Amino acid sequence: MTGAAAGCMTALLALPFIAVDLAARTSTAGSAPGEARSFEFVYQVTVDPVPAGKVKVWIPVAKSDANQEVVLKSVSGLDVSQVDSRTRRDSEYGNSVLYAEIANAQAPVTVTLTYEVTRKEYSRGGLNDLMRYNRDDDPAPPDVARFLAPDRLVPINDRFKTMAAEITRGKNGDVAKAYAIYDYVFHNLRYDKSGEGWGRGDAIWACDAKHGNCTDFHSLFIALMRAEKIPARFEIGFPLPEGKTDGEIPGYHCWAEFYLSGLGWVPVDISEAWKNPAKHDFFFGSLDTNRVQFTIGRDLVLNPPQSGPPVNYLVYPYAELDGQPYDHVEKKFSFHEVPVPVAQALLPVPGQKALPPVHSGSASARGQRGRGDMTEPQFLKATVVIPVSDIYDTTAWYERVLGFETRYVHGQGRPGDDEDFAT
Amino acid sequence: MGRDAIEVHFHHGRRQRVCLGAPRYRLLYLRVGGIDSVYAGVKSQGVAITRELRHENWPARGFNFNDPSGNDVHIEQPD
Repeated sequence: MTGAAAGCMTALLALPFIAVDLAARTSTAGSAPGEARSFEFVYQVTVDPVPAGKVKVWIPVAKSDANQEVVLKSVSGLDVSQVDSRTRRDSEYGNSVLYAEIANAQAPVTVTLTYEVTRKEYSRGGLNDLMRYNRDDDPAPPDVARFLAPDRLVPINDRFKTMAAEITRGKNGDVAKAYAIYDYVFHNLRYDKSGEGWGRGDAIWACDAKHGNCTDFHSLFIALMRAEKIPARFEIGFPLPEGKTDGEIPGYHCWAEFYLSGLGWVPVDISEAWKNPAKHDFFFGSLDTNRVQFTIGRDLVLNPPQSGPPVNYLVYPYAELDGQPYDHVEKKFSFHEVPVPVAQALLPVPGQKALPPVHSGSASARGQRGRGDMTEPQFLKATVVIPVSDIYDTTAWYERVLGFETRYVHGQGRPGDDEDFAT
Repeated sequence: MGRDAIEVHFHHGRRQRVCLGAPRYRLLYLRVGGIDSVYAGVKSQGVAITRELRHENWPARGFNFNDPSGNDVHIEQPD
């Protein structure tokens, strides 16, 4: 029995029930290499001084989800008068930001956020698996309706409707249509950051220029998907170089997800597929481990709201001085790989959306003067307790019916025996 | 015992008496991937399904059956 399991049993022995730990810790033994990457990620922001003025800064904060375990270990460089004691979430997408106000600074202010991250491969299966959900008559649930609506640079216009209809002609069902659109973007855009105009995620520009970076690839994909009434959303974070264990990260990476009724969100990464065509099929429905996600969505209204227009996408810090965007902000990102901890087992197996992972250890993020916990509170682990009448019969039944594995059984296991248990 | 990320602990003994006055209804609630396969596997073992696989009123599909102790086992896959 693992230490974690032993600890769990200690608590359970006081209660004569079955306990189900939906996010229980298990050993990583048996996990194939490459399924998860663990690393320290450092996000550093330097704000140029404004001796007579107040700079407002919004710094996106990564958070845990079904595909990544994120612990914000520390926030340094701000004092108690400059920063909120907690992260804030925007109301539309739920992205987290750290908000700070830097007034009358006489010298540059450098803020450093240090994370521990474990990212696991995220797969909803390949095309054949997804085809089981290939239907097109289910209305999207209300909570994904936003992802059928346009963004400023991702319009749903007649041009995209006509294009999407042509691309998906003869295709029936959302999966078949999504794959056709994925294939169209893959074959018609090239990953090329030459010239100007790329990187803004302007779907019309990408459609005309036929090149760009990940933002442009996925903006066109999202525009065409929404034109076909398939919900699609933009996700952004940072790439981790494959084959390297540390170093600076020059910039962001982004990808997209589309929604399938009966299954949920399905990831695609067309620009990574373009760079590695051998993974064309993989990146329709799966994401590799070489990334950390920060935010979703376009046209963001931050919390507290910025004075300027909606933020196109949020992965770098956004700053304002006197109500106007303030560009004198430098940023630097780096990572250092560490061994994958046992906690990676908390993440879901490929093809399965598990419950959110459990935070392990201290998740405190403290400012220079010892600010309080800045991480979001999360309720991640549930223990369900029910009685059992016979240990051996019950364990054998669960082995047979659900394929469970019995790890340890103690006692006689018959009615009236005291403190029999199995784990 | 368990499977994948799910870990189940069974306990039986005198202390079970503490729950005699408590409601008898107990639900074992499991979330899975590949629910169609799980459903087929349970049925193939001859287990009586007490509530057939269906779309729930929340974004999920699920079904129910009873374990030998009479506990209600609910298995579902979120949409």
